[in-house]
Formats: sequence, structure tokens, C-alpha cells
Amino acid sequence: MSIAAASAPLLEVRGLSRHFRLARPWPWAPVAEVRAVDDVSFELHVGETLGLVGESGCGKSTTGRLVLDLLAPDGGEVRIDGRSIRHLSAEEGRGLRRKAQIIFQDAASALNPRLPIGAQIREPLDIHGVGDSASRVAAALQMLRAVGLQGDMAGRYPHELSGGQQQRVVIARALILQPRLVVCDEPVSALDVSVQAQVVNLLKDLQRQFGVAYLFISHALSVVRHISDRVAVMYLGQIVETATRDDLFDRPRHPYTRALISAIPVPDPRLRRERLLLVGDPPSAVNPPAGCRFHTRCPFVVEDCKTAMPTLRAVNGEPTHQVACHRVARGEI
Amino acid sequence: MSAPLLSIENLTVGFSTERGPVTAVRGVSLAVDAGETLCLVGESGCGKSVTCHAVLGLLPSNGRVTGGRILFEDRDLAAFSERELERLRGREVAMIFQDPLTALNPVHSIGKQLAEVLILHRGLSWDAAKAEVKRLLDRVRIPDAGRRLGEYPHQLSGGMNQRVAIAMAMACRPKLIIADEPTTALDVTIQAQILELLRELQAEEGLALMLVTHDLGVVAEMADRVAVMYLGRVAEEAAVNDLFSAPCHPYTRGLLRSIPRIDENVARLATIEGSVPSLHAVPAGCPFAPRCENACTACVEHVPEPLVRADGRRVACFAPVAA
Repeated sequence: MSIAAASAPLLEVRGLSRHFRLARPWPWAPVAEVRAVDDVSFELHVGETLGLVGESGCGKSTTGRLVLDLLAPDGGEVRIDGRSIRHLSAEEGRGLRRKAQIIFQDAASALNPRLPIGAQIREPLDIHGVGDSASRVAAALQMLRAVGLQGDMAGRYPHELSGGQQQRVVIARALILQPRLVVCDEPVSALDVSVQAQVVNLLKDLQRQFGVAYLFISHALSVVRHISDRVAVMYLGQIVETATRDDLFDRPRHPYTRALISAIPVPDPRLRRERLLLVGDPPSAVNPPAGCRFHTRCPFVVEDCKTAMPTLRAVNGEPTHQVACHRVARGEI
Repeated sequence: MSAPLLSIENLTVGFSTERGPVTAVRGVSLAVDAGETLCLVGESGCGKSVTCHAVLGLLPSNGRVTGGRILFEDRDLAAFSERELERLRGREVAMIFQDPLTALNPVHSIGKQLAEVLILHRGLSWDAAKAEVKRLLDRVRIPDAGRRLGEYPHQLSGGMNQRVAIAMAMACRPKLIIADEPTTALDVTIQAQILELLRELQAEEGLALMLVTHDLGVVAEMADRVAVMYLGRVAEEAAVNDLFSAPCHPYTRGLLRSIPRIDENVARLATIEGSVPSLHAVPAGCPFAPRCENACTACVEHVPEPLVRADGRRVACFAPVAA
């Protein structure tokens, strides 16, 4: 960690925003805008895993797409290895794809149903013209084994594999170009628990082997705890707290993070944890509340939360632990 | 000891599919006592949802109960006519589904839908039903219930709709509620609210709850007793504390070890090798044998029968984990 922190970050995200205009129900209706991602900044270092967590609609998946330029931002900047990823030439774009890849939740829809899996894992090498044909076949086979599948499965089609095996193929294809960054968007959420553990272990093993960095997007906080070095918590398009894994899970400060963590059921019937139960539902991101966006559900809300938007500030004397909350900043909670 | 409220005996459910017949539930026996919570837990294809649907005669048209009995207060539901089942559903046994929108009618206001249930099943007058609906919505903690009566399901959030579905399930004061993954589609902060609500209602009304889930955290919070299912059979059934502190079936142990926890760090997750086989290729012998580290020859050749042990636990395994 300390070495990584000293060097320049692999991924730098500054003030990233993306708003979606909704279709107007009638022509003279006011334009409604979803602020899916609103002024989000973070860094990711070489070989590190940053967990990006939050509930549905908080903007975590949109952030993942913006980071790889799969969506154009309305504001802000994404830099990989110090270079902006916007307005690249076709050639530079290909270079970016070699460096950064993405894995989605639904492996079946990410795979070509009519191509054997060996060929699919090899395809990125073909596209980028890496090595000769024989070496590509060998590399694909090696990658197939690296993700825990047998070499003789190369000729099989996706429908012949289980969900967990399909996700292994997707991972193999994402890693074959030896990218430095992989955005993992809910990669294990569709899998059964016994298989989920296999894939999580695999992702960790491959990280050790290839030195790849993960932006791990998930709503499953216990999986995020297991895989992440650092974690950022999003609520309604903004990061409300970011910290190292242990600081975040053992010493959460933002009321939303505390509620989120305490809401996770622990598989131990003898344990009765103090629970911070939130009232109500998350408000719509169409017209997010003024001030702190969490104030409508926050049990600690005071007057100025409703008017002034808090910014991320270091807490606990730890520069890596930042919280966007007026009352935490004042040391009141 | 009095007879259980619901008792499922040796239930077998078959489906006809394009790829031939499958047996989704193979000789499942379970019992739910009045006021208790039984959790059914397992991975996809284990038959937990099918078991519940079979109880209420809600199997899809290609599914059929092919064996066994379902006794509710000593009446065999498997032998009930559709008409008799209709009278039972909602009135004595109610169901809550994963997606509340499938249970609610999109073109009627929630007030009207709830009132309809009360008029139909409890014979209330329109005015009495209206007052009762408001009371029910208050009970499931829907804020500002009076104003919400006229709203439609699409105007409410997922959590609110699930509360309405729970209100509807409670409307006729059933003795048993079957909840099939009631919080799986919800965010965790909303899940916590709904579980809390179910616990409260259960304590106040003395309801029995049969809760289907894949989340062992939810099991630990809600269950009195747990049945772990695998490929259509009950692998292990035990009191919740026993199951979590000393799992006997290798599958239960594997499941418990493979879940990451929110409150501690582990270097590496334990895994269960392989994956759940397809229902079209169920192994002979113990269904878990191909993935089991304790498996011996007997496991591959014979199906272990569930044995009741001294502590009241039932384990279907030839080579259980030493306690």
C-alpha cells in the first residue's frame, strides 16, 4: 500500500458528472434531469482494489462506465496513467482498451453464443494483433487454465457451461491482454453463494498474479469487504465516505455508511447488533434534495444539513478517511 | 405435543419440460408449528420455492405434486380442489412474493385492492373495509396511510409495495404466511425495515412464518428452525443456533464457510468445488456427493435418508461432520 500510495495513481477521476435528461411526458413539461453521477473524484493505484458501493440508483455503475469512456461525461475528467481518456484517436482508443477492461454481472449476455469459448478468449489477441496465431492459441489455453477451467473445454460453447464457468470465461477474456485496470460491475451478484466464493477467490488470485487493479462495483458489502483495499460509498450520485477497508467497516463515520453496514444481516444467530434503522426510501435522483442529499433519511439531521451541501473532509486524523457530513466534520457525531 | 400447523410429508413435485421430465422436489418432509419461523435456505434449483408454491397449489401448469401429503391443521391440501384452495389462500395461509408488483394489480388503487380482499374474504361492508384498510396500512408502517389509499402500485417504491403486499397478506388474519424471498429485490436498508416489520407482526399476531431465502444472514436473523435444501432434498434441518454453531451436513458447513462476512476479515474464502448440477442430471446416490469432501462409496450409490438425532436435528448424510 505505502509504495503504491507514493507513486502516481493508475486511475484518476476528478469532478466526474453525468446527468441524464428524461423524456418529457408532454412537450411543454419542464426538463427533468437525473443527476446519476455528480462531482465524483477518486484515485486507484497500481494493483489495488477500490470497492464502490451503494444501493440501486446511486450511480455506481454509471461511474464504472464513465471511467472506461463507455459513456461520455458531462463534466470532469478521467485519467489513466496520467493521460485523459477523452477525445482519443482510434489508435489511442485501442491502446486504452488494452489497458482497461470491464466485467459485467450477466456473463451469459457478455459472451457470443455461437463462438467456442477458447476462440472468445483468444479474440482480443486477434483484434490487437498480438503475436502469431500459434502463440495466441497457446496464450488463450494458458489463460483458460489460469481461471480454473480445463484446457479441453476450449471447444465448448457458452450454453454448455454453468453460470460460474461463464463468468470465468469472461474474466479470462478481460485479462488476456494483461490490462492494468479492470472495472468489475457486480461480477458475482448473479452467482450462487458457493460459486460466488470461487469467483471472488479467483479474482484475488489473478490480481496477485498479474498485478491488475480492480474498480469493484457492488451492492454486496460483505463481498466488497473481502476483496477491497479501499472503499468508497455512494449515495444519490455522490461519494459520501471513503476510507481504507478496515477503517470503513470497523469505524464508519457517515450516518449513511453506518446505517448501510448495520443493515447487513450477519450469519450468526447469537449476535444481535445495534442497528441504525433508516426510515423511508432513497429520494429520487431526478430532483435530489438540496443540501446534504441524505438529510431526508438521516437520523442526525440538523438545520444546516438541509441547505448547505457538505464536502469530503478528512476525519479521525487520517487523510485517507474522508467523510461528507457537516456534523461529523464538527465532531458532533 | 400438539400436531404442527403445517406438516409436509414426503412431498414430491415433478415438472414436464422441453428436455424431459424433472423432479424438483424429492421426498421433502417439513413441519411448521404455530407461531414459529421456519427458514428454507439453499441455492438455485434446490426446490425451496417449489415446495412453498406446492403448499398453496400455486405450481405452474407444467408442475404437479406427484407424491406425499401436505397437512394444514390435519387437512390434506394436496387433495384439495381448486375451489377449496381458493378459500384457504389468503384466509388461512397467505403468501408474499419476491416482486410485490406481481402480487398487486396495477390498474387499481392500493386502497381498493385491499378493501376488495376484506369484502370478499371477511364479508365486511365497504365502509368498514375502508376503515380496516387504513388500519392495516398503519400496521405495516406506511406513513400518511390515509392519503396513500388512492395511490397506485407504480407510484410507490419497491419497499412500500412490499409493505402493501404484507398488509394484503395480513388482511384476513392468516395463521401462516409463506414468504418467498420477500426482501431479495430490495436494497439492504429497505430489507432491514421489512424484516423488522415481519418480526413485529409475527410477535403481535402469533403468526407462523415459512421464509424462503438464499441469504444465510437473513436466516440467522429470522429463523427459529432452518431446513437446508440441496437439489430437491432436505440436507439438514435444525434449530437455528445448532445449525450455525455446529453444522452437521458437509453442504451446510460448506455454505457457511463460503460466505464473506461484513464484521470480520478472512484471508481466503473457503469454497465448495464444482457447481450445483442441473435437474436433468441429478446424481444417483446423495445429490451432494460429487462436490462433497467427505463422500465415500455408499454416498455415490445410495441416497441417505434423513435421520433424526438425539438433539432433534435431522441430517441426511452417511458421513456427517463430526460435532
